[in-house]
Amino acid sequence: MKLRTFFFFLREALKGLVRNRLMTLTAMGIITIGLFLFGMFFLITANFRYFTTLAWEEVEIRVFLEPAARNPEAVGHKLAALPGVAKVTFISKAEGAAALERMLGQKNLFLSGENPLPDAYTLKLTETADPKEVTRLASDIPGVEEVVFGRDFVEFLQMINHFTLVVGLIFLILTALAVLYIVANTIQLTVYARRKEIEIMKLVGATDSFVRWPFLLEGVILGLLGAGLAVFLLTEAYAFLVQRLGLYRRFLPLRADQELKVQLMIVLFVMGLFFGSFGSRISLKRYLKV
Amino acid sequence: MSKKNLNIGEEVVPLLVAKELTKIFNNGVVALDQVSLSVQKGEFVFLVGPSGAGKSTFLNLVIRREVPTSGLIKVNQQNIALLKKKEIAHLRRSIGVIFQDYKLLPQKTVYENVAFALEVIGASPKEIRERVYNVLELVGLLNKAHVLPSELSGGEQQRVSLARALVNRPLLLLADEPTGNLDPDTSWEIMELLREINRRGTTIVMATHNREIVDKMRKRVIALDHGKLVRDTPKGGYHLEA
Repeated sequence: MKLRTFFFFLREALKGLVRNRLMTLTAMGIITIGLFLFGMFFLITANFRYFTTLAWEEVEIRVFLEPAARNPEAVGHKLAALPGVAKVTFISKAEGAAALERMLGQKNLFLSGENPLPDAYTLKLTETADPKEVTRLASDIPGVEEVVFGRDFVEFLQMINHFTLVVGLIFLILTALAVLYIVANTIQLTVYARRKEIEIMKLVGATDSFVRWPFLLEGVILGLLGAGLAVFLLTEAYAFLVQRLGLYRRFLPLRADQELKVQLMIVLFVMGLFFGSFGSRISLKRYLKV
Repeated sequence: MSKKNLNIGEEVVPLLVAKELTKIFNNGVVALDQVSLSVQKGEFVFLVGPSGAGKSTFLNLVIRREVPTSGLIKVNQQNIALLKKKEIAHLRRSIGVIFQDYKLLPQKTVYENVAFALEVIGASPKEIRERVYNVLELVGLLNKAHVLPSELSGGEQQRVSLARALVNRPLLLLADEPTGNLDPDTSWEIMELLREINRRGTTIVMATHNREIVDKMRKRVIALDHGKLVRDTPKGGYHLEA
């Protein structure tokens, strides 16, 4: 495409947006609302994932060694090499006893003076690890007597994790489709308002792509403006929420990192761009048949 | 589409040919029924007949707004029904069309409405300026170039529409009831313009109800009735003379 032609299209698109001010504002408002809703679900899903990740970090597997285990370090190396193990910490029998005494608030726990606890390791897992598999493999290592982990809690967490992923995805897809539907319909209204113009363009010999370009650019501009507004509103509202809920951070931790904001911006702008251009493309189809 | 080579040897190739052209709409209405005719380059042809006779359908088939159900239609030796999308756009650039309702863009000025037909084909700004002013001079609207259509009279609006149709220097000009919304005096102004344009070499096919115009102009008359061609008279009148 010649640069002159592109600028002609851009000029036509901008003229179209300004001339049909009311339609422009309506379409932009609807795109903003749609993307705001989508962004809201995006943030909710991201935070749910964050909660489960935080909880997952609390999960640990305890590996107790046989009292006669001769080389605890060798066992430690083998444990660290297992797939899904993120971190291995050694707890000597003395440390174990001290921890137990601290927990129970009682000194000289063992009357006999002899510490019956074995040496142990605690394992932290990676996010994708399968605790059952890690348990099974750890039990097979020579020198290991028993492997203990909070099976119920882990299974519950895994379930929640799956659930948020699936439900989150379904919600995001449904919202995206709903937004696309609304946006396409709104753009269709703007196209309908200008069907006469399209008819005349076609009658004087304009090709379909010539007719399409200004509308496509209008759609893109509308999509990006709507996305910009949605990003602004969402980040402000979210920042307010994070600040307000700061007191309850321990119970309801919210992600407040820059990365999430950048992700949100990218997702919404890409969606705005896609909805705007795709929306005008499908809306135009009918009116190009002249 | 080539504007040259219309003559092959001695034989003159018609600009517009219809052979057993038939159009039946989806609702079963037979708009055109086995119509055969040909129009030579430079002719001025009136297409007459009552409402629903098939005049507009015929014009719509020429510019490929409709596709024939059967039969053949050719413009400048090109079979219109076989054209691809892009070729349809190119066909339309060689055919100017004016309508009863002018079909002007209300938010564009006279100049912009005419220039639009050239922008669509990617003409350079210099070429657009020259051609638009030339054609506005031809239709006598140079002084109204920067006025919106809503500020013009019906006759003036039709002249803008005519300017837009002519600015691409078409081989063929189709006029669908161009005087339908105009008073007799204004209608004659438009007819004088059409006559002048025809005199300069543009072939014109005009669908009309206006008996007085047809009778006075004494041009070729093709009459349609219920989709059938019922008369084709050189230098004829609106009705068959007794």
